[in-house]
Amino acid sequence: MMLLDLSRHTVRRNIAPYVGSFVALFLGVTLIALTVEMITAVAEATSRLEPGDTRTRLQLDDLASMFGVMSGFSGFIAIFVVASTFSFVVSSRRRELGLLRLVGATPRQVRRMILGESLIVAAVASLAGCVFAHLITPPTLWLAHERGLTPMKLDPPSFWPTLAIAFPLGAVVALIGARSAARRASRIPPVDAMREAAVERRRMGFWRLVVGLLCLGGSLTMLVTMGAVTGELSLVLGIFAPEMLVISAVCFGPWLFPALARLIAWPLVRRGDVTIRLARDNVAASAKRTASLAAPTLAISAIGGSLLLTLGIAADWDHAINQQYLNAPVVVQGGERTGTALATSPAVKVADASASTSITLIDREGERELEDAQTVDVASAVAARGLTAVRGSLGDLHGHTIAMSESYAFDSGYRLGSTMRVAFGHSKPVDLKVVTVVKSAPSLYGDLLLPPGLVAATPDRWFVIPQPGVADPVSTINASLRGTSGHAESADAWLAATDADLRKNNTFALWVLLGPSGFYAALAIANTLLMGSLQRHREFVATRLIGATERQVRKVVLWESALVTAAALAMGAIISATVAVLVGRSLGSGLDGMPIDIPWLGLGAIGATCLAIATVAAVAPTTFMLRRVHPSQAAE
Amino acid sequence: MTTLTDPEPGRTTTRTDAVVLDGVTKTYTSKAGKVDALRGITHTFGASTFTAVMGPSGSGKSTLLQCAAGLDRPTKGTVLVAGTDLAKLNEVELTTMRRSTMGFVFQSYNLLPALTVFDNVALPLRLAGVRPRRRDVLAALTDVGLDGHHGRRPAELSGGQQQRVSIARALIAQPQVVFADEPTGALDRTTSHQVLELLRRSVDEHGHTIAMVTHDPVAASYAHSVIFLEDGLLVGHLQHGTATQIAAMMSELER
Ligand SMILES: Nc1ncnc2c1ncn2[C@@H]1O[C@H](COP(=O)(O)OP(=O)(O)O)[C@@H](O)[C@H]1O
Ligand SMILES: [Mg+2]
Repeated sequence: MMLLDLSRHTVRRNIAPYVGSFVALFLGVTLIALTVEMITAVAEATSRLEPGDTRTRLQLDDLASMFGVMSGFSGFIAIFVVASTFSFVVSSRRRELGLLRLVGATPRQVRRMILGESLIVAAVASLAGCVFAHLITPPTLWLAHERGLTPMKLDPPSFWPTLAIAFPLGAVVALIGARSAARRASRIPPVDAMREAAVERRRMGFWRLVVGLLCLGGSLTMLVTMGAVTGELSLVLGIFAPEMLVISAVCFGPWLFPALARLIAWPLVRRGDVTIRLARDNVAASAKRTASLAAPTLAISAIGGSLLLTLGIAADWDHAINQQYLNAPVVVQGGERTGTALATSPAVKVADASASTSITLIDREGERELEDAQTVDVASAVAARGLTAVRGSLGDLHGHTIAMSESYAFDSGYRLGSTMRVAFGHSKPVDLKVVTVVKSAPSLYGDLLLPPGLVAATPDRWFVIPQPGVADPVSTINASLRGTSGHAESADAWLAATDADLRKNNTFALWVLLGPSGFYAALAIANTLLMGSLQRHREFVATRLIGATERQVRKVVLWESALVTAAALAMGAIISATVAVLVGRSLGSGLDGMPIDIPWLGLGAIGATCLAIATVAAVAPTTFMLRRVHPSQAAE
Repeated sequence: MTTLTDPEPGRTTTRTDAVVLDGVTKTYTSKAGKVDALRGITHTFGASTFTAVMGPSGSGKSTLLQCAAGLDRPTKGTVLVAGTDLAKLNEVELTTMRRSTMGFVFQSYNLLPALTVFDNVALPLRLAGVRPRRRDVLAALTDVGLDGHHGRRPAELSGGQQQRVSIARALIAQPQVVFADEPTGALDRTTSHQVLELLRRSVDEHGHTIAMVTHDPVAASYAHSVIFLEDGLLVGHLQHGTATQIAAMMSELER
């Protein structure tokens, strides 16, 4: 009781250090709450949908899961950001906390007090974030529709799901963030009340060590697995391994980042001026602060970098697969009459029709899920699209049977010989036997393949092998398609267009998934640096007193933030590169060749943005403070 | 619950030794090397005595105080406070011991800026889980001459007033011994005099025990006895010395 009372008092009077935590948490909760609102809006729209509107339903489902992933990323980044700010609160109040210990507070009491204060801040910030998110949901929904993200204009949802989900999530994020800060606060010895400058010892807490080692172990397992497996499992691991690596890097941060910064500074110090040397020593000596500053940058650069690389490699893989398996030199897209025209054209040897449809899968619990499927004619698909069985036999694909890609089989857990219950449109469900598992080639034939005759599907694309001896197949076929909506192009042109399309979708997905959390991370990095700089008022003044010019102090600060950011980016690059190499190797195995197109531009943009934000956010407050102080104040 | 105005006579005098140091050694080890801050100190701070610890800067005065108060653990030797061996206590037991038997006063007043004067003084009791009686806290403030200031914040007080608040806080739980490190280091002559008078009075009238580090002979002359430190060793002792005598001894030792 008493401690909460003290917490309330101290929060009220020590608002300044908590402003940073408040801002960080408020923004984080706003982001999470916003995604919850979007998901609710999507869910409400889905429940109002006509039962037959399967297309829109499928689109809305995808959208909901995308928002889910997005809020996951936001929450993840928020934990680090909020933890950093709480850690600053504790280090800026070192003396005060030491004093509390001195006049009789037990370590437990100090820990509870910090947790209490954090909870008060968290409650206010979370509530504010939820309300703010609810206010900005209508314009966000409008924008999402305007940008083509949602298939229809969604109505603003009710507020209660947001409050019920985002508010406690905010509190959880704050608690996780405050935990280690509070623990650290409780370890401040009472003598610190008497010390002017306390050098923090880098002793590692037990839990930090455990979590760090567990995550390191977990991520190493994932990395090893990624090296061993082939195919799309490595893509999934490639999405999760970076988060684990980030957590373990942050746990070992107080050793890792100063060491990295030292290494980066080494060539600079050898020929640089005194400010670089001073900056390096500051960064190395205040290990905890360095780690706190580096954490948000590391989180966003590692996750953004590896997602960018992984998605790029997935596109490279898709392209390589298509190139390897597509035998048909001509691709035709068109409508109903195109098929007839192709069948009668003398220039065509094989016209392999691809007809998409959506089917409803019904699992054992009766849960229904919509999936895309294609009907294929096995003989022509083998000839034109290089359809290859991995298990089972393609010859069995007739009657009540189904084929699936290797990666779908892996994801869904269906095996050769299992039975799938499927409904087509409104008709009665039927049981289909899985008779073959084929090589994955998502752009060529999707994940689920049905024999012809099972369901009526209209073809919209044909992979065409011309008769031998036809001189210019593309123009010849185009000529025979005159009068229909069909259009033929060379396989290379189609491959290029498909690739470009996929990459465009990837870019879009990246923006949706990482845009908000990236924006949040940017604000948070600025916020953290601001807190860090404001805390060092006395130190800056003292440095001025011993004869440093204002310019020199500014340069030291500039170098410090550059070194910290560079260390974080270096670690982020190492994580991204490791993940990318493993994903690339694992996807590329079994292919004749997979040229990798590294998205240097995007990666460079992440790094440059982090550096730019760090520089401005560190130097601006310093300049401001230096302008208002005079060296004589150091004597106070 | 006892208060400053209502002392229990004889409570602290039943034990004659408030703090006993026996062969206390303290060596700081850092990257730069080892520093022997204390090199075998044996001394007894008797109950109801006011002892000044003097010595040049870096002689180990603060270290001595910190070891005696259990804020730091000696490398070798034992420290007994009110008969308890501090080495046998863990961090939580030390804290509980500290809040019931020790008070602290420092050069920088070390008040919590967020709390009022009243709450600052009452804080040690609250941390100990005792509900402070308003009457007791106000009496403690009256005792240090701060009638009617209980509602203010530390920032609204002068340096001398803040130091008196921290003395009231140090004495509120009726500690066996008060440790003071340069309590007048940041004060002018007149306010120093008030603060030192206050400390002396609390020993003479209420039977408290005080160990005070200082480098000022005038401040040391308020104490019953003065011990001299140099280079981590006890090098001298003076009973009831005047400021002039103490200063003379200091300069003799420094020679
Ligand atoms: N935390 C510490 N780490 C290393 N050396 C220390 C530490 N505290 C004090 N010292 C050293 O111990 C010696 C005694 O210090 P101190 O007790 O503070 O002296 P005084 O209070 O008499 O000025 C000094 O040489 C000082 O440099
Ligand atoms: Mg000292």
